[in-house]
Amino acid sequence: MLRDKLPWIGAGIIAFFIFCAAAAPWMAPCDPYAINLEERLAPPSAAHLLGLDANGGDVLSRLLYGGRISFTVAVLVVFLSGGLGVGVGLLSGYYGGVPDAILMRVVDVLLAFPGLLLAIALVAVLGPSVANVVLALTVMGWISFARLARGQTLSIKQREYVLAAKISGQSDLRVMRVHILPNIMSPIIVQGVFSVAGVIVSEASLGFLGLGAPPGSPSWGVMLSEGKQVLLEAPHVSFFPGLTIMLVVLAFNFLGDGLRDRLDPGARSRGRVQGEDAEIEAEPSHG
Amino acid sequence: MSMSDAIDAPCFLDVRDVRKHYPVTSGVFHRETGRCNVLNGVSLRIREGEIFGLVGESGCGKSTLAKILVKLTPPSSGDVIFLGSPLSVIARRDRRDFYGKVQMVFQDPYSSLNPRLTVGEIVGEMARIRGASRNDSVRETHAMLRGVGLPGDVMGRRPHELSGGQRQRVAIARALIVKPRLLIADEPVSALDLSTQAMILELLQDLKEKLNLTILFISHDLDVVAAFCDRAAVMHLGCIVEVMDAGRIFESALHPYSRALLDSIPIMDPALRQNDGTEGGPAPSEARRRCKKRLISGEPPSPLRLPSGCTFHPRCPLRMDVCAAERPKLLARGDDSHTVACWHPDSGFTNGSG
Repeated sequence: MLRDKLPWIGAGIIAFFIFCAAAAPWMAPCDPYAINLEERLAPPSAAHLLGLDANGGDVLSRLLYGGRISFTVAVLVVFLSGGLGVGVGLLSGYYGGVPDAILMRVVDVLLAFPGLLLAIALVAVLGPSVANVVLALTVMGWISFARLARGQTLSIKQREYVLAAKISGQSDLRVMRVHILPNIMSPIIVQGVFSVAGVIVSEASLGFLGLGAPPGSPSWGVMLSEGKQVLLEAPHVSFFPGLTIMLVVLAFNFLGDGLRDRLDPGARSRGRVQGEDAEIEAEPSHG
Repeated sequence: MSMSDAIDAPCFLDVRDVRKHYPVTSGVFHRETGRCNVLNGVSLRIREGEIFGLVGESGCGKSTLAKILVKLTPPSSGDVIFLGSPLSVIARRDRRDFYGKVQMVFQDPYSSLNPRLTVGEIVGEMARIRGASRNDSVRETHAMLRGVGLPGDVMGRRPHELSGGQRQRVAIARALIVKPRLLIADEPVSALDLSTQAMILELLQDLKEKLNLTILFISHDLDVVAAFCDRAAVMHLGCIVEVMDAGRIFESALHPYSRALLDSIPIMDPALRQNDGTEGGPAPSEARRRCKKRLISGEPPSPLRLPSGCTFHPRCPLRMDVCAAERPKLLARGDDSHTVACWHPDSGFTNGSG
């Protein structure tokens, strides 16, 4: 059954890319910032397995280092937005009332914005840098976690074990931490894995548009963008970063699907959306 | 209020004209378009040391009353006086103290235990948040679990590894480890199979004696209430319609709704069932078997639109004009221990003067 194996394949691909990113200083054959204008745009060869880019940088080395940026941004954004979103959603769902209503209207307004567009606007205002990319994607990312956590809290807080905890005399915070949070984590973890895929694509998109890592830095999005200018003469310059993004995003979606089936069987229709957007966005750029 | 109520000394638990309604809203602005009247003036007095049964069909407000008694939801009006002090004035910081005196066992043992915690954590938590050291709480938990008839090795297990009866024992241990004075048991056995029911009831009876408990026992099973409780109240659509000695419920229930509840218990004896004499052939139809009984027809009235007068009158076989006009009061019939809210003379004597 291929379907049963896909999550493992996904996990394998992710492990491989994370290992490569972590070991980039030892694995990379060349300095990712090296400039070699004489051999610029050289196609793949034994010396440079994935060829050279417009500045004569080794594409393989730059991809390996690029993974460090992508994964760091993705992990930071998912933990920051997940932490913020789950905290807000949990409190909002638990206490309800007017603050909850206001908060959810704010969320609705933010959701009405196309996410990437708002991120672009934010980074444009704050100035392009990796830190601002993290900030902008977190501002966009916490919303879906907050909605999910709130919905889960609303359903769990009616369970009898939460009522029993409420009448045990413990504080509200402890009720939330011990009795609600652990029981709403499964769908949130699934959502987190799908978000990693989304964030990687968003980070690459911002880089592609010149709003992420500075030009010349080994970021997958920046590499795609630089390769675009020489697409016809040297397709390998943009093909390999595109392929990498696609593989990583696909792998996180496979893993997310598998986790969802295992942890959160009731929710086949949820969470997938972001991942699918991600794949569609990734495709045109490496073609 | 009847005379006997007025002269009583302060009692253990005094539910005074408790009402609860939920607004029904519609539209974006949550305009209130209706009211769901769940409790419509419930008054009850429970004495220390008794097992008080509360009976009624689903949706009559039994569980809402239980939630009000443990302060999980506030009443819309009325109040509950527990040990001389009204629940409505208990401050947030005194909650822990209050929940050391009142505890609750829930209906469904499959959802009343946190699936992520071990049995030891579930029960021990109650002692820990009351300041017991880790060692003390483990010792107390161990003793309590033994007290509810569970082997010591359940401490490290999680709820999904236990049977329904074992889970309900854990829930009872969790409630009783704080040594409460009042235990509210909301249909504690209705999710269990029959043999387990008997064991859990026996356990509750046993613990009640040992710990000097007062129990409010909510149930829809009249047999269980008659056997297990000292007194019983029958509830219909958020009103108490009859209070009597539980042991005499089958002989002395007077309210037409109580009678209807009794009549709706299926008769298990085929000889009794077929006493209308069917000639051989196929078994008599269900309708035929039941023809001797007075079953109530129709659905309970909607709490969104309460009937005028007595809430039972639309379904009552004995209804008279006055029933739709005015709500009957709970008044003593015969002796003080038996009160009925009904206008019909068959239920004792004509209610009041109106």
